[in-house]
Amino acid sequence: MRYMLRTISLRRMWEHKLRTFLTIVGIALGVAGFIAVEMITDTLKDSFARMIDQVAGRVQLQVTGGDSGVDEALLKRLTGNPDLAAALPVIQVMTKLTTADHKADRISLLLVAVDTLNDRAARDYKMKDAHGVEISDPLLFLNARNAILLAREFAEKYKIKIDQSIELQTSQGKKTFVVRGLLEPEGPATAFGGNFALMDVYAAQLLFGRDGKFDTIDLMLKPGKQVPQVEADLSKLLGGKYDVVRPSQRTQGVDNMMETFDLGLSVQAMVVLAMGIFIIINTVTTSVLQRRREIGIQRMVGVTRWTIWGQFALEGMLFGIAGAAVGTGAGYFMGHWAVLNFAGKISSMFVLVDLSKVSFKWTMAAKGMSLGVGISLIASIWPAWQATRITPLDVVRLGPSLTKGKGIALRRWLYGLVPSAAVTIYLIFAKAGFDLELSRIARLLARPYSLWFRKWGFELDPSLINRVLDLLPKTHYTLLAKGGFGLDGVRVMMITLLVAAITCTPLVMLALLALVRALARGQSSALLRLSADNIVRDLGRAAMTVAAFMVGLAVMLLIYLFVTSTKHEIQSWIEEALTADLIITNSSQIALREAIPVTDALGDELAKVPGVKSIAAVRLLMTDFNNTRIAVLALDLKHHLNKARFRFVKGDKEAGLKLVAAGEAVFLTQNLALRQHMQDAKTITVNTPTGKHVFPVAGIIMDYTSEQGAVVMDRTLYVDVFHDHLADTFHVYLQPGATHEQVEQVRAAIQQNPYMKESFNLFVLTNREFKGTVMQAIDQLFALAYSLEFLAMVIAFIGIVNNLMATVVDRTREIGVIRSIGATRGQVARIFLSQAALLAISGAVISLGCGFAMAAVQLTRIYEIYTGYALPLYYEWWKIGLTMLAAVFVGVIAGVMPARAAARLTLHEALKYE
Amino acid sequence: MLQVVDLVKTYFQGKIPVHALAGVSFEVADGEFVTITGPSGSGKSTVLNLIGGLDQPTTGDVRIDNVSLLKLSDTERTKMRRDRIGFVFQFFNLLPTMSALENVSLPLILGGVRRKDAEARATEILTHVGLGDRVKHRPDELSGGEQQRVAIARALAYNPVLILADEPTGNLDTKSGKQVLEMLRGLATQERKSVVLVTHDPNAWRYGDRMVRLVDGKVDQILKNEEAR
Ligand SMILES: Nc1ncnc2c1ncn2[C@@H]1O[C@H](COP(=O)(O)OP(=O)(O)OP(=O)(O)O)[C@@H](O)[C@H]1O
Ligand SMILES: [Mg+2]
Repeated sequence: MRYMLRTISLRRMWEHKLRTFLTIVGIALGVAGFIAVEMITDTLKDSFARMIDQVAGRVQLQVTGGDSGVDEALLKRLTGNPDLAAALPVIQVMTKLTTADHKADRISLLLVAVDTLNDRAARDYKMKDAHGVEISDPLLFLNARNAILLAREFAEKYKIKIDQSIELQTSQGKKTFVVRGLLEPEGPATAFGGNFALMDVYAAQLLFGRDGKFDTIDLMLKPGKQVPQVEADLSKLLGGKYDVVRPSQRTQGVDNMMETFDLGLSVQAMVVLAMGIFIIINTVTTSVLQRRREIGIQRMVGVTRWTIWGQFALEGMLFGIAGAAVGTGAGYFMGHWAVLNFAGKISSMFVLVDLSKVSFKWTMAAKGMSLGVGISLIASIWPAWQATRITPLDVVRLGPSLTKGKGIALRRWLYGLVPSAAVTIYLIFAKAGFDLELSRIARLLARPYSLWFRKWGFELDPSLINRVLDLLPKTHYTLLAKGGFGLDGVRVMMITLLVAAITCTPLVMLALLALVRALARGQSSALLRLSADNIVRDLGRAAMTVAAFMVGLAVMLLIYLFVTSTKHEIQSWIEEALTADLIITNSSQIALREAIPVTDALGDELAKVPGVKSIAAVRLLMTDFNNTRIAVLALDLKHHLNKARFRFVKGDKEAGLKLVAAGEAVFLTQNLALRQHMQDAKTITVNTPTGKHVFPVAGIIMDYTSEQGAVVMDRTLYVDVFHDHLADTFHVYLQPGATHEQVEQVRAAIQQNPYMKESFNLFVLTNREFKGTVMQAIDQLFALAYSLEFLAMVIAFIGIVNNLMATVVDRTREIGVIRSIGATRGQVARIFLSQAALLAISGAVISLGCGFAMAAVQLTRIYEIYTGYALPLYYEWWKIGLTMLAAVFVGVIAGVMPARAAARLTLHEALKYE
Repeated sequence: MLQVVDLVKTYFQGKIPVHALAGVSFEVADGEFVTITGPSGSGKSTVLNLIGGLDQPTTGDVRIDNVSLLKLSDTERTKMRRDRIGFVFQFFNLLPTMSALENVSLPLILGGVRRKDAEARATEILTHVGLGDRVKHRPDELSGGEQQRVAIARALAYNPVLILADEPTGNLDTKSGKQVLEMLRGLATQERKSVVLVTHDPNAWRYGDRMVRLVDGKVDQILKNEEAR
């Protein structure tokens, strides 16, 4: 076998350098994409975990209430606790340095505020004086309200000296701080990439709107106390009103929050990787076809079938190994690139972290390698088996004459109709609300089988069958749950749809080619005819190419449909929900995580600006809930009541609004209700600074403010319960019917307001501008998905080039003949270009069906299960048409190189007999 | 009508030159039937390829009706080949997915003739070569002799003045081979077409007016019909 590998396989691979190269690139791109996605999600999660770890220091337990914080009274209760050595209040905010010269791009800074007297019990800070002598207690330098310590590297980078004044963004506007010392890179001072500042927790309370609250209370246990025991005891002591967690557990919430996002990306990466299968099948099949004679001769001289099989399987694996190795290396760089370009945006949507350390683990490389190699092996099984079917007799039969190519085993492709028919029936039943329980079908089927068993002398006890069937977990055979599919069922459906589309590919191609032949007229009809014949003669191989192209396009269509439907739905919602003339926001983007909420006193101030009728403060707070994070949305219902039209999903609108406006109840957003299975909930328990608070639920509304779901309440109630006077945005209302000029005038007046101008870095956007930024944010969230899609299309492109190059090689003599009877080089090139076009068109046509079907499933089912939104399908035909045209164009481009190769064949060589 | 002037063709296998042709000259008149013979590797196919413009000579020239092939562009050569030269190969080289009729009409359609006209002409030629009842058959449904006759019909599609045939009987039984040779002879005698036939077959020589014998890439001798027999 090794001899065969060396003398035949490797030599052939070398001989067909282009094909070998393209195949390896195809696999490599898939593996690289996979690794890049792993790197990006891991980097995000690791960075968050690292930040928590660095800030937590030696802290063993924390009392948290999510972003809402915990009441300061709790500190007193915990301080005397016999289990605890220390209870340390902490506030942690992302702020911005506004004094640096780099005005345009303000520097984010992690500001941690601690108890200056006691915090050294949990965290190590190191500082040196001007002579390099270590200072015994750096925290003592934080004795003044405006005192601050900066990480040394950060200070040096921005040329900040000791005792220099700097300005930081706070909730009260810009504030001046005095740098009292520089922290050595150790412990917390290394967090957030060293963009770190430390201050006194009680000073921070006032500046960052934490009146009477801390973000967490960090706990150190007395020596000898066990963490789990204390954890349980404290939970009980606090009456279950607060979460007592280990610092490491806090990463869980972020992981859960990112789950949907993660899943989408990894599924897509798998699709890209799986496209490599088609490339390998194509390459190994081509290899088998071109070496039929050689295989026959091998068989004649006594090589066994297994050796032949092994030879080709090994060849496929060689591609896999080479591709995976190259891909792993490329993935390493691609991952860095992706983190640089996309992770920042994603991070700002979920949780802001320092992304300077890109995670690359050997397990990723191992996973990528084994996936690449595994896929290649799977892909070569079938073509290698085809090789074993070749007999010595074939050599005798294979003269040097032109062969018609292998016939088409149409029957085999017909099997493809079975899954698609199954899905269709399934969809129809689902639509009709028919409850199709598989167990019932199994029982029904069991009856004839038991008769059949009896014939053989076995007696099957029906109750035994029932008992066996009952053993199966119910979800697995009840694909169709009441009112919709279970998630497993939906996943099965998506895969079935793809498989069905792939197996239908050859049939659709045949139909399409027949149509083309029937329609083609004139001189080009002869060329089209020749291209179509080329495809039909190796339909299986061409179908693989088309399938790869089709899958790539279908997934692209899926993403497009998903994004436009999302945008359309959000747009129409925001059109109703957002009626303010101007929106004052703390962020130019809808990236809430990097924004510092501001005091609502600003709103009162700006209400005095001439032309302003009223101002409503909006607060969006993320809080921990059931191991994930949900939003609390506080709206000024006094203003919203008559302006915004809530879309009610459940509950009485009039009564509900009255209750919520009065601060007696809250609304749940529909996606929250669905995600947390709270459709029928009468109350919801939310973390507040004063502990877990139970709110009555007055109804469920449609709202797209947070993908995680939100609890919507009136601002008065919110301020009351959360002790939070901050606002993320202000909605400014003018007199009804204000003209564009008036809006601009008010905008200028707000921007010129001295309080606003001097202290706050806020953006004043018109209604239209704000909506624009929302749409932009959605696009940015999907930028990575589109880049992965680009990879998929490159692989599909390679598939077409590979397929056509193989055709050129296989049909060399035919090309010679056609040229000898008078076809020009241009005409030969056109045969191959139209062949590429035909392949691409077939792919596009099938992808339309497959993409739409998948999008329907995705939008109505998967998305609903994960986010709780059920989006109606929305799209623009012309865009899809344009995309498909572009795809076909790309396909034709893929034909250029093979067409040139065909046109340039030297005639006498092409016509030579072997 | 055809002049082969001092053709030299040197192939390079790596750095080693292979002198396939070392100066070959002869002429073929209108309506003349010339056979080319010689031992294997003597350069017969090479000469034929150069005449048909399938390959470029190292030095020397081929003139058809006083037009030098050397001076033509690739496209012009292709047009010349299509309009004035017909090729017949040993292994027929019919396109396997096309019927006899389609194979014969293909060169016409490629040249811009309307499909209807092309098929009418193809039917006419196929009838002429005695295959009027086989037009719908595909190559694998035809015998070797029939396939070769379809190939000749295809070569005649444009009513060329020169027919080039490389071992057209090499793969045929004696009877079919005889039919093909007689057909070529008829084309020369009755339609005044020039025919150049490469063959090993001593039986074929007597169909020609003259015989050119190549040895080691050079003309060994040129014999008249009577002498060849
Ligand atoms: N592409 C090529 N590269 C190198 N040498 C070649 C090439 N084509 C032909 N030759 C050599 O040129 C010489 C003439 O070849 P040609 O095919 O014309 O011979 P032939 O007379 O047709 O032989 P046969 O009777 O076997 O068909 C041979 O020695 C052959 O090896
Ligand atoms: Mg020869």
